[in-house]
Amino acid sequence: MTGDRRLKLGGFAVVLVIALALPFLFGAYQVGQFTLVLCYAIAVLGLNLLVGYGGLISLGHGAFFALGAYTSAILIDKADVAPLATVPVAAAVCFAAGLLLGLPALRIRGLYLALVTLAVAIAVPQLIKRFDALTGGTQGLNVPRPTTPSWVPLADDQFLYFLTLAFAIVMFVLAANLVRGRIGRALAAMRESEAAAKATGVNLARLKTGAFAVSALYAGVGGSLYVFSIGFVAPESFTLTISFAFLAAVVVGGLGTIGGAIFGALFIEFVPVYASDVNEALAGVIYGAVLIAFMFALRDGVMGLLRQIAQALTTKEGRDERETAVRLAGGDRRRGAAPSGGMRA
Amino acid sequence: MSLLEVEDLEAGYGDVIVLRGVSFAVQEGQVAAILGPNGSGKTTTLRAISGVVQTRGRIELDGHSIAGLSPERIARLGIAHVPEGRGTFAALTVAENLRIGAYRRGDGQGIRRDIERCLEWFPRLDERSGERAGNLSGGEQQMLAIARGLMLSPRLLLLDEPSLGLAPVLTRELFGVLGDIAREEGVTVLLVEQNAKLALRLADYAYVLEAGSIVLDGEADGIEQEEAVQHAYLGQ
Amino acid sequence: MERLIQTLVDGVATGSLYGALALAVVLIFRTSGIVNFAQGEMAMFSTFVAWGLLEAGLPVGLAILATLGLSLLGGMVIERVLMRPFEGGDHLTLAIVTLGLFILVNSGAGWIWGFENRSFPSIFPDDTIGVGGVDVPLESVGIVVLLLAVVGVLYLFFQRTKLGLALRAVSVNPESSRLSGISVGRTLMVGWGIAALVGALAGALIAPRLFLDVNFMGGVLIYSFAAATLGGFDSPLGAIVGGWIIGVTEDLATTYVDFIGSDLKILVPLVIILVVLLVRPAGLFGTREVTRV
Repeated sequence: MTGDRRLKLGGFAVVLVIALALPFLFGAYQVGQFTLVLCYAIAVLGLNLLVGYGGLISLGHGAFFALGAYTSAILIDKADVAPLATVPVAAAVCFAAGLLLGLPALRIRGLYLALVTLAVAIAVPQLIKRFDALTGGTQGLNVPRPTTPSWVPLADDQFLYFLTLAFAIVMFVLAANLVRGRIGRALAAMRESEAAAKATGVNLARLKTGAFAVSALYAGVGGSLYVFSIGFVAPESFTLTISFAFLAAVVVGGLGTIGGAIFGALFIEFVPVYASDVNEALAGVIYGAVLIAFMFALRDGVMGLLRQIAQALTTKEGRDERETAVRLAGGDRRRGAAPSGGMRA
Repeated sequence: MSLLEVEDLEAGYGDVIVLRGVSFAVQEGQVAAILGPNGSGKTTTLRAISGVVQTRGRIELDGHSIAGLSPERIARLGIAHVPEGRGTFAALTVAENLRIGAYRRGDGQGIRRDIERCLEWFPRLDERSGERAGNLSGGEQQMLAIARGLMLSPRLLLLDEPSLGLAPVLTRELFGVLGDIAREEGVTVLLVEQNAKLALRLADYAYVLEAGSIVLDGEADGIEQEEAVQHAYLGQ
Repeated sequence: MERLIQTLVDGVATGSLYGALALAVVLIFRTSGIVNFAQGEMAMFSTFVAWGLLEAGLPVGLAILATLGLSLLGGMVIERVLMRPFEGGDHLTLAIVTLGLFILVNSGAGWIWGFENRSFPSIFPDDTIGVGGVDVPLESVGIVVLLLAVVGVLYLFFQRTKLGLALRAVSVNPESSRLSGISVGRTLMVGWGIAALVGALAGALIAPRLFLDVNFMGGVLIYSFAAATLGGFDSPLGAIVGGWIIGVTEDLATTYVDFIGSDLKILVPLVIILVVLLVRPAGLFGTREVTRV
């Protein structure tokens, strides 16, 4: 497995280098787009923890994204809180909300969970409009964007990008640790079989609620950073579309992967979702078709594809090892090889 | 030519091979039994014939190959598989279960007549023909499953462990009826059974399957006399 | 009092519409064992097709009948092409596929017909009829009667015909169905076709009340899911009764409870879903097995 680990670290290093170089290679508008990609990536990562690793379907991730965004926006606009300080608050608020939603999640599962989260996602824009005294209703709220401190030699857009990148790196590293540890294994066990997981001592209730809370926290951080980028929140930004987009991003990136969040986020930012009418239709068609196509052919998303490529290009010795194993198993069919399978780390 | 011919049959689940080159034949009108311990591959044999599992090797019905065909097609060719666990349509009524057995047939009259015959063979089903099949006892569900198989008007009836989970008295009664049916209806039966005694009494010919291979075969009486069989399967 | 009767009648009529789409959802759930998130969008697409036929000059009744036929075919095609390859897959995969279909159909309709609102004519004359001494719209009564007729026809189909029996058999035990020679795939196709047809009818009945646009079935879908949840996801009767209860509750709530204006109406089905799932997950008429999804 060290080979695999080396590949992963290598991939991470490459991505990091590219990420650091980006703001100097592109103009302000594109840098802004990449910043959004980072915001989405954080949210998508959270959803992947829930859906990809935990096997729980949520169609309402956008609701937590909205909650994080509005928490930050309201604190900055109404209470004059420093933008950076709002991020942990948004995280905490969303964590609490996730715990609350996690409670009913214990009793219901699978498709029912999808229904409930779907209904929540649909309700969000209405709720935002309803409490317009706080949220600015349909008009939304304008939020001043963080500007570069004088002692930093970066343009505003670059500074914001690196700020967001810093948060993203932290969130990604945390997620990677979570997944590699005891909790990650428990999630995987739960995904395979709840009964079996329970039998091995996994506290399903705590795990599910925790998974919800953590994924909500991630969405909240993403939403909070999103506000800094856009400088504006309104109900229209948080319709069902964004919840679907996050799910699509999880699928495209690769269910049950950490790195997939990046590719997923790239996908949903650069296939215009909020574009003009004509584009909107085309974008949706592409979205839907891609979702289905990925389920058909690329079940493990872009990360799965990359992994396959990497394995194909892997050192010759790795390949020889595998060939020998197959020959042994094949020639010894009479003895009945053990069924393959098992969980992906 | 035999009704059913199986040669060098290999079958399994995924990477696990269960049957390792099994060969046998069933003659028309015959009752053949496959005996053997748990896990020897008896159920897999029937599933191989009815098309539920992947196979390698030759399987022929009336000289025509049926290997690789879908279960639906094989059923339509006249092989009725009464599965282990009965496969009852629990939420449907007894009568509906029977009608489904005859699904592929077009002869309304014949179907009605056969339903009557089944209810004659199994009076308990007649009493409860309008009831939900899931409410029947294990024994009654077994009878229903066999009746469902018969409704297909099959060339070959595959019975998978009909005695499983049934009380001894009920099992004897069931096998008695099976014997009558086999004789009077002339149905060809391939029976897989753990209860060797009853199976050998019912069958004309028997095979003993161990670890995926046939180790012994012959006329049922002869097999019953075999010391090895008596030792292993007849509790002597 | 008059207001109450009108609200009730309207509630039952609206509830019938929710129930109709819920029925389609339940049909698919029973036969294929999955929740088709795209059911509403399929109905929307069918309604647009009907609109297209109307624009082409067909009279309302004929346009709708033709649409029902096309929807039957469409549903069958979707099962064969999109769902069959995923037969037996895990819930997440299936959910994602139907969601992908949702997005695809929604945007596809937008691409073909654009995103503007348009009006859709009712098949019922714009008249009133007396119920309990009060004048109520003929359309409302007509919808309820039509739905009951559909339910009646479906009941006869499932209980009295061979194909209906096969559908029930497949939904109960696909393995044994195969062993009896039933082609499970083809039977499922029919199930999807029927569900699409029922959904199309629901769309054609709902469209006159709202504006016809690509998103008009989105909210309805939530209500229908609530109806199906309340009634029990594997119970067709439950879908209808659940629909009625929700329709009436919603109308009573918006009429008599001030806090719930038209914008927060969507909370009604949400709350109902949550309550049902926490208190009695099998719903009113569903079987216990449903909860072991």
